Amino acid sequence: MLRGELRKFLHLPSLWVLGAFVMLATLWICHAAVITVKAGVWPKALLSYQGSASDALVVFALVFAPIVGTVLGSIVMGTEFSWRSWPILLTQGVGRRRILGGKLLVMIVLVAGSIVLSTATALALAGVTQAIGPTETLVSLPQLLVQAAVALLAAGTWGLIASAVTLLSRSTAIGLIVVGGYAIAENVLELSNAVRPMLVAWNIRSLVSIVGGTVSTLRITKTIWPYPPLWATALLLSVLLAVCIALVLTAFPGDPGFQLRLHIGTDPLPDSGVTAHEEDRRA
Amino acid sequence: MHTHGIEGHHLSKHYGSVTALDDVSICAASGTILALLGPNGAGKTTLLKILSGLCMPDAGWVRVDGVRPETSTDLAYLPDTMGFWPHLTGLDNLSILARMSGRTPPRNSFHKVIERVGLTSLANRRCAGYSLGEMRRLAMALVLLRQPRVLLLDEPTTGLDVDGVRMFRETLRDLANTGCAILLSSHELSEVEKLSDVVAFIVSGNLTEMGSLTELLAHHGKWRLRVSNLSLAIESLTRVESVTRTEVHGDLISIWARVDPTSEVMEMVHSQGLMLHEWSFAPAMLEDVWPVMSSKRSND
Repeated sequence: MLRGELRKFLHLPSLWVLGAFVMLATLWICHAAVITVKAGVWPKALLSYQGSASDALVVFALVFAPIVGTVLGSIVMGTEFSWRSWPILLTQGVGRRRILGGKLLVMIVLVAGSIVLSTATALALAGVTQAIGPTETLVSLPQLLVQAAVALLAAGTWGLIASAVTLLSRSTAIGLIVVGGYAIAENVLELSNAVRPMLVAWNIRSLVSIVGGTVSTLRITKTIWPYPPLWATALLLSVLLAVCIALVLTAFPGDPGFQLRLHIGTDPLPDSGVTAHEEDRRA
Repeated sequence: MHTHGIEGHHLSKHYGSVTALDDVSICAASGTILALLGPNGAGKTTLLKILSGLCMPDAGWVRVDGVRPETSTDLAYLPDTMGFWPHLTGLDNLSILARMSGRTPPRNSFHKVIERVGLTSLANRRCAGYSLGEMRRLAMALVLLRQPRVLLLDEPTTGLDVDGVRMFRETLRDLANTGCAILLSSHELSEVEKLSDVVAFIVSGNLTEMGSLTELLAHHGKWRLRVSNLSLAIESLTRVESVTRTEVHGDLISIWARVDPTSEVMEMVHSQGLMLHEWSFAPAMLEDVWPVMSSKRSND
């Protein structure tokens, strides 16, 4: 089951595009600000500051993992609707729970793959920069594992939510837009600590209204009743979302890593003690 | 030999205020081919979805060889709009689906069924490029791989070319001979006549008639009478109790009757002194039965 599903999705071009996005996102996390500030001398600037792989994973977990999870969750469930392959899939005598479980497992495997890819990209980059010259690249394995677990939890939870919304709405686009919108609002457009409680409250209110709206719509059309496992899934997802939000809020309260620790403008570069502008002038 | 096949009892389904099915009971025994007939929107697809376990009825229950359809490994369903994974080849699709249920068919069996359905040249091409007919052929290949005990098909010949229809008919007949219960919905009446043993008419969510195709056609058949004095015969036939309707085509009188009118008509011919040239029975065609059946509910 898992092998077949993996085989199916690994042949999907959009997953390869997503893989490229993960790699580029990781590279961006490590370098974007430096490249932006030190435009014109980018090869040197690229190597002048290197965030650690752990930093990259923290940012990946908080910013990109929810988006990657959302995309994977929507694709894994939604493509079957757009390909009209659910009927043939559901009449293979496998059982709905096993099919649903298999799909969620595939989603988790793909999410884990994206985290491994991000870590590998960050490590490879750190290796390259360290080989060229001494940098502040710090790699701590236990720290990496914790960050990877957080990234997996974040991406997995958003992936599960996206899967559920896609299944209920029977549309990849709705899964992507509704859940992706939340993921972006919550993570990419993350605001300061002062507005975070407001954002969380707004998120929770919106989530409740989405769930409530979906439930009442389904009550009217009666389409939910044939699928009692979906109720259990929706409940589980809500709990997971709450756990994820709580974890993020408690594990990284005002963490400097959360703010990318990138050196923009006149902040001194760690290895030289000179500002970016001064170095530019010297160059 | 199994005798169960598939059975659905007192099935009802409503979509809001629309009644898709109203207390329908249906049974297809092993080795028989049952054709579901009815106008568009009659509830055929809903019934097939319920029988396949894809859709739950509001009331009633379904059993496939004694077990629920959603857990039965012996049931296959080919919907009218079905899809395979477009970015994979036909062979890959078959391989993944065939192995899903845990049964791994021998490698050469894939090529055998592909050849059987006439897709050899397309087997390694992505399904995205398949036509509707080729998709149907691939679906038949999947059915052949699975060898189900119960097969449900929703308008299966749509998009198939002449060879495809013939292949499809032969395949279904072979499957039925091995004990598979087949239930199909179709608007191709000529195909249904060639293929099915039992027919069921659904009109506005109600099962209006179900029975042997031969009996149904015989029941709606007509007797043909050719005698020396046509006008006298027609006038006399109005007094024959079992005769419901007569039509004249040239020198031939077509007679429809509630029961076999042979003895009454022969008596009438002798009593009127008519010379009998022809007295024969012609079973009806499904096309003749269709208007009667499709208007049955509204007349009731």
